[in-house]
Amino acid sequence: MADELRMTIANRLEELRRVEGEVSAFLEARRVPPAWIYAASLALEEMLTNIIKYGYDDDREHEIVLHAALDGRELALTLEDDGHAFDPTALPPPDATRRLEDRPVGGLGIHLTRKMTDGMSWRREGGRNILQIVIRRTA
Amino acid sequence: MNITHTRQDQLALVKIEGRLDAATAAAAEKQLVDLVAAGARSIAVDGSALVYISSAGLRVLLSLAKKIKAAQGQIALGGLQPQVKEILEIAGFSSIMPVYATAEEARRACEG
Repeated sequence: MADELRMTIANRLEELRRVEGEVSAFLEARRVPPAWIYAASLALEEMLTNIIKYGYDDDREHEIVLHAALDGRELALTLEDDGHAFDPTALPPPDATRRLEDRPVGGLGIHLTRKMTDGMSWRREGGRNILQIVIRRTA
Repeated sequence: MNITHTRQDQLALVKIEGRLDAATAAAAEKQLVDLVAAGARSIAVDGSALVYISSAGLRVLLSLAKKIKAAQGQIALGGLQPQVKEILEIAGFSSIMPVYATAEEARRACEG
């Protein structure tokens, strides 16, 4: 049975610090390597920022559910939100021929997350975005 | 996140400690912009105590680099921790500002 953490997050940027604190504490207590903690922290900050800033078409409060499951070799982070459909895995890779200053800013977080983690998958189910990010022990 | 600096004429040596992320980016940007407004033409960043950077933190460095370049100053980073360095490499930051092994090398590059 995997070791699990579940959090309900409001769609406010102030929530990012609480998420980072709880997820880091969960991983540190299980002696997860620092590189995983960095990758998890980054993936959650980038993906939650996108959802909170751009995911909703109204100003109401929404709930985002985070589920983290850890077994010895793999950490799976799942984010579920009821914003409009958005698939971050479909974003094309950044145009390396354009200077960094001239590239659209929104894509950088997704690009970093993709490169720092080992797998991302997205599906739309029951009016919700379900994004799963996997970080694996490679050694 | 904490930013401290020392000045040598127009060069500021800036140490950024802790996390440069969405939660701290606005405060960091303000402190760095204030330094430039106070007359720092070149900035050498000591990244030895910077433990985390995200895209929000990269945008702070990018906007600082633009201001420094507009004033025809120099900007360089040094002493970065491995994961922070990896993020900068993935983002293609080498074209924006040089990264040196140590903060001292970054300082010397800014003097030159």
